[in-house]
Amino acid sequence: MKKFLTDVADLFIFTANFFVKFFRPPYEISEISRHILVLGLNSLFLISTSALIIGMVMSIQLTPTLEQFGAETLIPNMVAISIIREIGPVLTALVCAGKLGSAIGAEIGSMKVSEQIDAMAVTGVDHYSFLVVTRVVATTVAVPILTIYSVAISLLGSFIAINLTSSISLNLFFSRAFEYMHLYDVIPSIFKSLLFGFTIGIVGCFYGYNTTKGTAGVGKAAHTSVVSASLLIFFIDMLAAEISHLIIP
Amino acid sequence: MKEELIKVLQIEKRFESHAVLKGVSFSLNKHENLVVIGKSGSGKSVLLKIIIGLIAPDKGSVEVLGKDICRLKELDLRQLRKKIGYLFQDGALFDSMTVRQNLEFPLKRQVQRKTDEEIEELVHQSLKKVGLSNAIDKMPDQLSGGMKKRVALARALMLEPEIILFDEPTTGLDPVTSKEINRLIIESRDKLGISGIVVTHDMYCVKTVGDRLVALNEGTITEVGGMSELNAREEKWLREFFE
Repeated sequence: MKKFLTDVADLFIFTANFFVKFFRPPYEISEISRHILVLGLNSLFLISTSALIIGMVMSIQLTPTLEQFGAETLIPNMVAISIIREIGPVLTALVCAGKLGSAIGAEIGSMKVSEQIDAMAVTGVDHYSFLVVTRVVATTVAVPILTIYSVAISLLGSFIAINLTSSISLNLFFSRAFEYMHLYDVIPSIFKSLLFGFTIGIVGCFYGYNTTKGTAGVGKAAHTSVVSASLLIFFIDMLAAEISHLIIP
Repeated sequence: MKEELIKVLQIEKRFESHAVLKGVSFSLNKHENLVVIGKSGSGKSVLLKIIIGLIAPDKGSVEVLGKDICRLKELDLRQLRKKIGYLFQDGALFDSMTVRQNLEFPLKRQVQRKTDEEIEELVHQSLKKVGLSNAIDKMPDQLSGGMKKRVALARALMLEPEIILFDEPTTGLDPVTSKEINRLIIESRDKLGISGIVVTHDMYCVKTVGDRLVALNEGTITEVGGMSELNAREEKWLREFFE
């Protein structure tokens, strides 16, 4: 329990330090762009595959139930709402937590145990700004973009699945999908994705920075980053749902 | 009177129940190479990390270039560190960057930045000094242990420091590369006027580069003097180093 509370307090301080350093020059724009590109591209295949399958599976599973009520025309809309509101952001965030969180934890962890972070510090460079701020900004930007991409792929998956058993044009599918969609279905999801991206970055960096005990510690940092970020994603998701219901009843 | 660049005063450091340093004091004079000898695990690297402010001591003070490193604010500490080079035991090269990027790294992040052409020129000069001009675009994992050390030394020289701290500069290297590293340490002092603290247990390195010698044993430091004084010492643990 004491270890848990200490970790939470340390994570809080680590996060507070991010906001202090975020507004302070130097701004490593090229490094941030490079991370966005690398982190985004690294997760693209996994996100595409999982999103496509989820979209297809949802349509396939909804069809028999809705057919009983003669409401199969609602499938695109039901899939779109559940994917945009919940499944898209959470699925993307979980995939990114596994792929990006572990990569960040392991990379920074191995830099820590091989004294590369100390080597940056002794040259007078602000290593926190260079290593942490850049990665956290990159994940905060990349995860919402990946979420939008994953939603689009899921809807495409749903369209393909519907067309396996019946016939619907792409235009009709998308007009039905967005028929009952409102801005308040989309905005909380984007906001949630921003928080998920931030969490993945900061948690990965935090465990990387606190790596001890050599290469075994690097593995532990990667593993703990994924587990903690995934748990936090569910926790934030629950909080976001409550808050958005309060704001938009 | 000699100008003291570093003054270490009554430093104590403990990790959990293990006291590593128990009241260590010594100083580094301008234009000298001070060698710190001691067995593995005697706290030599901890001592260097305290001097550069990577580890805080439990007690005592460290004055570097007239500033108490334990009381400096983050920004001032970063400014001071630009005047101190540090050669890590394993080189600690940034493994995701090429040799060129490793050397450029500190220079590109200066407040008063040099132009790209000036930085390029400095990188070439530094690599020429350590005899590795042809390795400029290689990644660290394409370099041998000796080459990594030499690149790390080139990186430490990039900011034209007044002091360099060498952590086991020749450990794990073949005799030829060790000689080369020792030559570079001496050259740094003689040609560039850089003072250095060399932490080592390699007696060849001690004899070659050391102007003055202190020995670290069981958390305390013994001022030995020059190499001739070391040969005359009676303490068994000290004699074991050169016998």
